[in-house]
Amino acid sequence: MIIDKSRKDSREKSGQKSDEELIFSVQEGSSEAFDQLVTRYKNRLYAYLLRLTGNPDEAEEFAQETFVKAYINADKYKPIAKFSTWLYTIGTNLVRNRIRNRKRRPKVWSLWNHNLDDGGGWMEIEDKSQDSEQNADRDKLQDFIQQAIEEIPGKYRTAFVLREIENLSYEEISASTGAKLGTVRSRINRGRKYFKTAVAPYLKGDVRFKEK
Amino acid sequence: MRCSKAREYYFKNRDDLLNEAERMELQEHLAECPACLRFEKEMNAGLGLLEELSEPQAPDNFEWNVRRKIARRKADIMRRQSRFNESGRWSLKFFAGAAAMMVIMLTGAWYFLGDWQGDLGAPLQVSGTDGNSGAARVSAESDRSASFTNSGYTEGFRMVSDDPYGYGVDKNYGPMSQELLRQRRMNYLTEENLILKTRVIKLKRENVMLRNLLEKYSKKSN
Repeated sequence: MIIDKSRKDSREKSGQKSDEELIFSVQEGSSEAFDQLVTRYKNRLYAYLLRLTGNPDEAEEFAQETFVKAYINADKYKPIAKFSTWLYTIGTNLVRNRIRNRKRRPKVWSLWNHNLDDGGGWMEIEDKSQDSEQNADRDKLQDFIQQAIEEIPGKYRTAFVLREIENLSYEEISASTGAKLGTVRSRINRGRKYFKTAVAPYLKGDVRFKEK
Repeated sequence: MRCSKAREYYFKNRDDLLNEAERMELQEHLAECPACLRFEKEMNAGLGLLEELSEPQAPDNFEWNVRRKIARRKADIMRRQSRFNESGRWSLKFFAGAAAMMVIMLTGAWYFLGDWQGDLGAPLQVSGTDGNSGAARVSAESDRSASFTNSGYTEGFRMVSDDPYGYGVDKNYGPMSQELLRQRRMNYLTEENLILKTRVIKLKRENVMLRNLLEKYSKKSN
C-alpha cells in the first residue's frame, strides 16, 4: 500500500492522468491513453507474473496477453474496482487457466512442479553484471528466494505474492482472486508459513552464497 | 493467551490489523513464550528476505509487441465478424427454407392423419357459406361447428391449421394472420436496420483507430 500511495502521489504531482481517467479515454477510442497504461504497468505486471510462474518467457507472454485482453475488453471495465486490481485479475486468471489446462494434460511439463535435476526450477532474473562476484552472489540469493516462492502451492502463492510483494490490500486481493476475505487471509498466512519453511535452510546457515 | 492465538495475532499485526490492546497482549505473550518468540523472529527474517528481490524489468520490445498483438487481434475479430455476417445471412435463408418445409410437411401430416384415423368425430356437412370471406360453414353431427377457408381444399375435410387454438366458429383467420405477418415483417426490418446502423458506426470507429495506428507506425519506421 505504501508503494501504491507513493506512486499515486508522484503521478498527482506531475499532473499525469489517473489510471481510471486513462481507461475511460481508452473506452472512447484513445490508443495513446492505453500506451500510457502499458508503460505505467508493464514492469509491475511482468514482475508479478514472473513471481507466479518463475519463467521469464511465460511471464512476458502472460503480461502481453493481459494487456491485449484489457484493451479488447476495455468497455467492460467499470470503476467499482481500481484499474490495477482489474489488470491483476486478468493476469491471475490467465495463469490459473493455463495451470488448469496443464493439469488436464499431466504429461506436459507443469508450471508449478519444476524438476530441479535439469535446472528447470531456477530462473534468471537479471544477467547484467555477471562479472562482479558480489552481484553474482546477489543473483544466487534472488534465485533462491524465487525458488522458495515457487515452492508455495499455487493458490496460496497468488495471495502471498499479491500481499507481500505487490502490497495489495486484502480487499484488492479478494477482488483479484475472487476469494472471500477470510479465505484470502488464511491463504496469505499459509503462504507465509510455506515461504518461511522454504527459506529456513538459508536462515539456519545450511545454504550460503558467499563462500569466498 | 494460547500460542495459536498469538500466531494469529502475529499475522494480523503484520498487516496492521491489531488494535493497541491486542498488540500489548501479543507482546506480553512473546515475553513469556520462547517458542512463539522464535516463530516471530524466523518469520520476520524469512519474510525480510523478500526485500532483497529486485523488480525485474519487462523486455525492451514489450510495448511494441503488445501493440502488434492488439492490431492482430482486432483484425481477427473484424474478419470473424464479417465471416459470421456472410454465413449468418446464408444460414438464415437455410433455416427459413427448412422451417417452411416443416410447416408444409406437418400440415400434410395433419391432413392425412385426420382423414385416416377418423377420430375427429362424425363426418362434417356443409351448412352454408360465409358472406364476407367465402369460407364454407361446415358442421358435424355432434353439434360441433367450425369455420374453414375454401382455399382449394375439398369440402368436408377439416383443416387443423384453420383453427389451431380451437376458437370455433365465426372466426376468419386468413386476413388476420396476413396482418400479423406484415406487422412482424415491419418489426424485423426496423430491428435489422438498427443493427446495421450500429455496426456501421462501430466499423467507422475501428477504421479511424486503425488508421491512427498505421500513421503512428509509419512515422516511427520513418
